[in-house]
Amino acid sequence: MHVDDLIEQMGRFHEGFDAKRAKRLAKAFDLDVKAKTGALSTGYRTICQLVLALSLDADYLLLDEPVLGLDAAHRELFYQLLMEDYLERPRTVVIATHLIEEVANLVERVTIIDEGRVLMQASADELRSSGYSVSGRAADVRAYCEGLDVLDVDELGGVAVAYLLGTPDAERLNDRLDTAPVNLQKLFVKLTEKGE
Amino acid sequence: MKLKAAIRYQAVELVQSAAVFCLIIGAIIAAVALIGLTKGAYLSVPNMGFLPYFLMPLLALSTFQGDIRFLMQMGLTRPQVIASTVASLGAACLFLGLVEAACVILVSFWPQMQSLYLMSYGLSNGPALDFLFMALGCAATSGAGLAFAALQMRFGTRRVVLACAALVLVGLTILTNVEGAAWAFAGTMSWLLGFGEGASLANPFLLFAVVTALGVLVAWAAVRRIEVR
Repeated sequence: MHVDDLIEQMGRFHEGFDAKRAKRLAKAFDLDVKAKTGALSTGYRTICQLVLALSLDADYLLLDEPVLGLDAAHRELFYQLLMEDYLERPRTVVIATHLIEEVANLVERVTIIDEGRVLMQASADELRSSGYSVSGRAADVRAYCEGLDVLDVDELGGVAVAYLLGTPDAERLNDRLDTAPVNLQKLFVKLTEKGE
Repeated sequence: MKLKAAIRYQAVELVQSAAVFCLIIGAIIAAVALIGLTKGAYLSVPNMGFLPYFLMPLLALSTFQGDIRFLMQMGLTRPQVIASTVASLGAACLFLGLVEAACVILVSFWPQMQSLYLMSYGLSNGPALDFLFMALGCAATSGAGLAFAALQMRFGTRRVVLACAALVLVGLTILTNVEGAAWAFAGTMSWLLGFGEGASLANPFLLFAVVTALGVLVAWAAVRRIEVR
């Protein structure tokens, strides 16, 4: 089946499917509508599915690893189109992804799940402010971390970066230490590594 | 809406395939008839009358897996997929029956040289019964093909083929080793097909209807547990 045949069939199976929008999105992604769906690469197969999903008039959109196989440019385009779609027609979109940092600016709420258990559930801003990182000389970092809730410490050649929960302790900080908001990807990795 | 779209999707593909088949067979028969006319000879290919009964299970086998995946991705339930597949195969069988009946009416040599039913059961039976025989016969073989395809998807090709081979082997063993079994089997088959003492012309039609129903039942039961990846 060719991509344009699939778009036509989608219109027959789903009442709220917008075929014109699907063709517009396909053009935006450089998806050849004359190509056979079976002959598409992994990336373009994903793009084809995303195009169909974004053209459906559904109240709930569940996207499981939606950017699998996509290059950076197409991932960026997808997020942009997803936002435009949401602004045009607000609906509930649930994205299951390992690339948290990419979607963090798009989503309202984040749930971190590990082996079927919810490890953390909060808004993206709350999640970001739930932790921080401290970097500097290894000895200074170790001294800072004494007695605090440390997720993990990465050490390399005398320099260390510690990932902690909570907010920075101003009394412990000094000129040789730098703090930064926690990287959500890192938070996810550390939480799931700890198996909490 | 989904069921209607599914039937349309499958039926168009199947009827198109059946139409191409009819064109090819028609071309062969026409070529043979032309050769016969030019050479002044009496030529026919009556065995081609069996071909539609082989076409339908092949179509069922070749399209089933792909269709079931596609239709389930479109949101149809398993019973809906079976209903759509049965309706679509039925449409193809009806199409073949109509073509057969049209050939009986329009082609002068068809009843006595090409129609399997009329040659076997008598030329007086007419196009209506010929249509029914073709349609039901194709439905029976496609029901068997559908059951095989569904079992193949559920249990795997190797298991199903081995099971069928085992059944055939057991059947052959019984027929060859049990006294009178072969004759009894031949007699029963003849009776079921409407030949022999006490047989009715309705027998083959009933046989085809029962085989169709059994095939659909087996397919439905197998599809209920199929996993689509």
